[in-house]
Amino acid sequence: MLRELSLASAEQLLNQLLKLDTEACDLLAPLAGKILCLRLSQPEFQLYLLFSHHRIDLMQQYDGVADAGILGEVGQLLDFLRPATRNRAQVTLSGDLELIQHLQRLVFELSPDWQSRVSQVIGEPLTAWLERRLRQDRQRLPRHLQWLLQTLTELLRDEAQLSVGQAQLASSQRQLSELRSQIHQIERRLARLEQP
Amino acid sequence: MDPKSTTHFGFQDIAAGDKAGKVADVFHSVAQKYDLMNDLMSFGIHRLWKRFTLEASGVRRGHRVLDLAGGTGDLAARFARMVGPEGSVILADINESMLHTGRDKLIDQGLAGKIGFVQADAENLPFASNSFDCLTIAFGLRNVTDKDAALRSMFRVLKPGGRLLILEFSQPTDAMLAKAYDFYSFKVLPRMGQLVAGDADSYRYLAESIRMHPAQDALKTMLDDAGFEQTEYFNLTGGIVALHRGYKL
Repeated sequence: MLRELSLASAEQLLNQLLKLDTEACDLLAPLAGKILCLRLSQPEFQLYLLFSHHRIDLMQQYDGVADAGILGEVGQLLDFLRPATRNRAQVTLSGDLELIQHLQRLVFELSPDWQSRVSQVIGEPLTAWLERRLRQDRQRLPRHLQWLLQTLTELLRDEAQLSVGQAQLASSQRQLSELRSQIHQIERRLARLEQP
Repeated sequence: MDPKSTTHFGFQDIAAGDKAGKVADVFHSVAQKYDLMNDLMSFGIHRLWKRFTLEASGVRRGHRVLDLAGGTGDLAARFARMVGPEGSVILADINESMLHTGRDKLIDQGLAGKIGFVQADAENLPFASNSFDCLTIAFGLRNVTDKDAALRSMFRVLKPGGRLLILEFSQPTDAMLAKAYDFYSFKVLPRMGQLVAGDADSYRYLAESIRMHPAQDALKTMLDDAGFEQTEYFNLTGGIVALHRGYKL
């Protein structure tokens, strides 16, 4: 259920962001009805984005064919979706390239009006202070984000190398079952030897 | 159906012919607060169970999907987006109040015209044979009087190669979890129902009906008997809920 929980949380966050931008529907319109497959190579992970007029659904498993696909590492994928770094991102694109361009446009142009929502909770003076603070930190943010992404990518790569693969697991299980049958054989032989 | 035969309604034995009416009364009573109560009772986990069901459905663009006992349309809404304009989704429920609540909710979500609404009895589905690629019934089968007849009817309307998914409360696999779950179901749930929906009896029926519903293996055998193949089930949240899947081959 952890996988479902992570996907549901990510989907909820994404759609809340879309709701906070009054222009989001216009940006989503050309994507409506399309399906995009994001494939991470390190570690291997697949995510389908199902676009509709008002929201995006996330699914890890989809039996149909996606209209377009983007393949790459996490950091590279995020770079691809940022205007400043998109040209240097090393990702493999497939299928409907126009769909991918529309997705990039959605990411670039989405500007959620979080201030109105936050000000309802903490009031306008505090929201204004928070906004000022965030604007000041904005210059440092990409650097921090870059470092975070690089660390995350390295961590995921290391974890993927250390984790036991399916083939290795199957081989260990096979060895274990062979060992078990050998022990049974020895036990039976011992039992026979112990008989008078 | 034999007019003298009996069935269970929660822990009570009643005439089989009376069950549909009694279940209808329960759902007329809870329809308006159904979504809220689902979130409260399951701590929101029902959304994850449904998400698991969607991913196991294999539904794709152009498919025809029947969401039986679809209630307030959680699954139907997502299926409508998965099948796209080429496909179609029908939300069917025997209960008029649930169907109205579901229709209003889906219209609010901008899905008017993308989903068909049909008041239908699961035991006698009013659809042509071999019409659907996928049929789901989430938290509905335990309320059906003649489950075997309903499964046969579902088998009939599925296309060859189509799959049936049954998401339903089941038997916890761990003894400790089962005890905690019993306490929650019989002590907490009816009080919560009284507090939020002003109706303890309906939620007492919910707890009782879950205990009377066939356990995982028994339901799998029922699917086999109805003609489904490659049947399997997935225990979710320690078996509190199970997703059964079978194919018409």
